[in-house]
Amino acid sequence: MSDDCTIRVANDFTDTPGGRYITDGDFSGEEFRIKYLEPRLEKCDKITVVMDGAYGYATSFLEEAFGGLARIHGEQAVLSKLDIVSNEDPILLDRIKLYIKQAGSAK
Amino acid sequence: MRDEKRRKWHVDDKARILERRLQRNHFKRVAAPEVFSIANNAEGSLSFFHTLQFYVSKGYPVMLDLQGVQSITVDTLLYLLAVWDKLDAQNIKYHISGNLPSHSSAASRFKKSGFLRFVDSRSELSGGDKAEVVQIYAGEKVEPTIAGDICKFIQHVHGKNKGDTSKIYEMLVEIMTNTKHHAYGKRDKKPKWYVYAEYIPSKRDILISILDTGKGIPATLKRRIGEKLFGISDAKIIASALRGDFRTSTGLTFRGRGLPMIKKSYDDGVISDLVIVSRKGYLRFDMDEKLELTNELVGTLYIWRVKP
Repeated sequence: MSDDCTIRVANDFTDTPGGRYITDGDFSGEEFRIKYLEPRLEKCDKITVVMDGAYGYATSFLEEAFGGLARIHGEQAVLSKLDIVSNEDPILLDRIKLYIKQAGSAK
Repeated sequence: MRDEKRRKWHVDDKARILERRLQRNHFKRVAAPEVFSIANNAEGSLSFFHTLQFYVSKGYPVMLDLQGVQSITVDTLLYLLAVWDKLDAQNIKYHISGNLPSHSSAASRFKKSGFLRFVDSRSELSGGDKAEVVQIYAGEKVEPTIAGDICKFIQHVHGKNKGDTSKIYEMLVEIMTNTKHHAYGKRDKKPKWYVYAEYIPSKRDILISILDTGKGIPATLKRRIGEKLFGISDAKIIASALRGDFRTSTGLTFRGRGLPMIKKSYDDGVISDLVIVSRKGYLRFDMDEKLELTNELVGTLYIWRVKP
């Protein structure tokens, strides 16, 4: 990890992200949220998550990682702290924001 | 546990010996249709499986006769493996054997698919040409590295880069995830997925087939009051789920996004010739076909092409 509040998913976690829950198999969205996002939410003023370099992100992975975070901590807390970088697929930013907002409004 | 000895495949063409064996052992012969393909002949192919399952349920040993097959797509072999694995999971005794198509290109596709790795066969196992196929792979959990391998295959064959195959990767992982979440209740301990990818030189396309043996799309979706009263066909309810209508049986608003994503990939031209078969519903989007089949497919089969 380049610094403790920057997560490069492909380098620090995996370049083959998996499904929704830990019980689904390796590299799930839930695992990413628990191991990487939640510990930094308290510790960091801003968490930079670099999405580039992975094979792709299934909807269930993104929803559980980022939407799941908003279900626990609330939409505003998550949106204000996260800085998502996705140069290879800029649409990922909109998808992640959507999942956070939808999860927040359903909380 | 899988028992290959109950799945015997005769790869040498000794028809007369087989014939005698059939008579001696009271085997029931089930002949595959000339076009052995769920994508291209769903009724004929699913009727074949229906007959197979009928005889197995009656306790007969069965001989699957593929000699008359003129063309084959590997979706049928994925489904055959799924039928076997379900029988094993339910501890149902069976004895099934089979032979190869006489037609050379059908036999070649059969061998290079990797199907023979799953059965008792005296054939030397063909590794398949890695430039042409990703052999059949089956799993229970989400295995993102397999999805990655298929993407690498596409990148290699079509000269693409990682970013070009991200939507394919997402679809494969999403389908594997759905398999895990849509098991047949508590009795179905091991829903599985089966995947295969093949380069079709004549069209320069890559054909991807992925089968999940969960409940099937129609059984996992909520029916509305009018639909409960008057009924709705499986094909229509699948089409509705693909449009993104909220129907997830979990009642969780954050679920049920996978199918619309697959349809969007088709609409955006990332994939083509998308076929989805689940229970009695058959949808083929290029031909605008939406059929209600006579025999159902247990689970969901997705087939699509990736253009260069």
